[in-house]
Amino acid sequence: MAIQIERHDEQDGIRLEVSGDVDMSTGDRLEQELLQAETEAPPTLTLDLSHVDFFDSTGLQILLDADVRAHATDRRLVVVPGTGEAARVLALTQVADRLNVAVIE
Amino acid sequence: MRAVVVDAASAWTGVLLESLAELGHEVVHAATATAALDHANDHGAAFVLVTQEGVLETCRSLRDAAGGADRVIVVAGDHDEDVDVSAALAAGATDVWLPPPTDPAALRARLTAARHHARRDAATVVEEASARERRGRPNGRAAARRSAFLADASPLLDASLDLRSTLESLARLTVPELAELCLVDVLEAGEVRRVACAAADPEVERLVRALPRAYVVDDEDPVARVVRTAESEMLDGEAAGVFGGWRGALESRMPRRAMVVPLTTRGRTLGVLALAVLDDDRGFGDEELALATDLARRAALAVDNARLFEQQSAVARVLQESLLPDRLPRLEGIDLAAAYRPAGDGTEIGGDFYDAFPTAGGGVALAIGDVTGKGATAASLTGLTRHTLRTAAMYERAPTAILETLNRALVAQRGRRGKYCTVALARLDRDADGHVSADIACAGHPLPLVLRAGGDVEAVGRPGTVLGFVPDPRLHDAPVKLGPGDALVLYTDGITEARTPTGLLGDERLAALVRECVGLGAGAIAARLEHAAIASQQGTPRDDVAIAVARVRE
Repeated sequence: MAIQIERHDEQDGIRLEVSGDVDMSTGDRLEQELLQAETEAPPTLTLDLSHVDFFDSTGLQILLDADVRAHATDRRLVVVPGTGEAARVLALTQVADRLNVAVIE
Repeated sequence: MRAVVVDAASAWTGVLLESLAELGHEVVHAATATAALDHANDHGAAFVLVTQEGVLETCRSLRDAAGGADRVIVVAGDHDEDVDVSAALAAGATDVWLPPPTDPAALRARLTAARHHARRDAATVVEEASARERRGRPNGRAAARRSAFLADASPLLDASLDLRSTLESLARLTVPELAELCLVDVLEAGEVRRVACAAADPEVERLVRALPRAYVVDDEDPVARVVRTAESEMLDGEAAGVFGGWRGALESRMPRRAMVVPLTTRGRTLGVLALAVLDDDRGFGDEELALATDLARRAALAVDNARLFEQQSAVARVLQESLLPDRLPRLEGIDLAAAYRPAGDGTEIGGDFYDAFPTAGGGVALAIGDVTGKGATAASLTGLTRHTLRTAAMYERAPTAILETLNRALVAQRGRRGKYCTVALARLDRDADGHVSADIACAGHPLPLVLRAGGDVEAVGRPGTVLGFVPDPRLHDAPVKLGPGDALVLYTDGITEARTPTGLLGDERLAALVRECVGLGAGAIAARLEHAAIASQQGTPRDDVAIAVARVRE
């Protein structure tokens, strides 16, 4: 029932690697990490959701809001949905082609 | 066992009949008392549920008929006012359910208790001559009967969440085996509230039931004392009065001895289980105290669980009143039903909703959805969404057109945070041949399932874009034909994302659950799926669960 968020400072920006559950009880933490990273204005902010075990409408809200913020400030948000729960929700909600989705590894 | 249900016409009737059938009973629905008597007498029905007017008469006839002695006769109603409990018991009823349990597990437990009672009553009639001796000090046979009693009482307390009704049945089980009078009292803010009572003698029960349901006590009242100390007490003579200032009302029927056992659970003492005898020759020993303590422990857990449940359902009720439709529209040839359960302990307002409303050009729309956010944000977004859907449906026929209108409203009103919403929307039109044509559109929402009358389950519709994110969502109207007995099941991901001991419940297990609903009515399908989702999460859903069902009448 927990979330782990690892931050990696990379050449072209910041990468947040999320694992565990994104739900009502953990969503705030993810949102805070994202907002914190955004204040540093990295050219690319990568949100890696490929290790997420649970992803529901709370996660969707955070993801879509982050994408809207990126567009509004001309930053690049890249989402790595992987093949698990986050990918399932992105497929169900048909938003993958509106986001910058990266297939990594 | 054959079960005859007499003229039951309450909200719970359908689910109850189905639960009885599911438990393997042959269910007969009799329209009148006479028809019920015929069924009961000719076919040896073992269980009769009476809900109609003239309850007392029917009970008497059923009891007096040949073979009626060990027949289970249960009287059921919606509210306390519906049935005079002691009169019904005196007329031959085995138990009184106000209201009856509709969930199969709870129903099974209550039936077990009722059958225990009926068997015991029958034995009492046959062995009246030795009744005195049997009611005396414990002997081998009494001990065996007591362990049978506990075995019958346990599932009752484990299964049911309907507190009052359960504890009434429990109290009834304790007399006369364990005591002649049984009370379950809770203490709140210096006030004793009687939750349940039963007496071996109907006259005593009538007297006790005539006492006020709640009364103020001082610190030295035995109930207050036991709650304070959480220690059992054995009371003798004058002190055995466990009725606060009301002991005078019982006159010569005052208890001579009483065992007052605390209802303690999760570190809190909620009240007492009081067992009393009115007969000078009878008493309580260590064995009875041990049994009473065991019983009290289980009852306390049931009381506490039920409190949590009641708090939860109170919140859910308020929610349903404000955010969900008061009632679903009636539509010829189609039955609509819905179920809703907020996440967690029910204190958080969730984002799931369902609705049903008329559409342009006749027909009805059935909608289910999930708005993002929680608390007040979710509540206001739910209001906006439902209102917009209903308004759009007055002008638009195609579900996609209705959803596009909602999308525009959501995008236009976005603030610092987006207002996102997933919806599955079905418009249902009844064809001349009694079939139903449905158009289904899904916006970011799990695809609805169709349960065919023959038992096949299929997902219908095509995935579409979640609403509130982009100005041009991709949405599709998918046509589906529904024949007599086919059911369309809309649901939110609170079901499929339910965390069960063996992983998320998932699409496949949901499909299997829906398949098991073949032959059930719309209300029973919704109730069954809701129950399955809640039960798989040990009663505390972590996300809202909403279900809406439309079933074409056969």
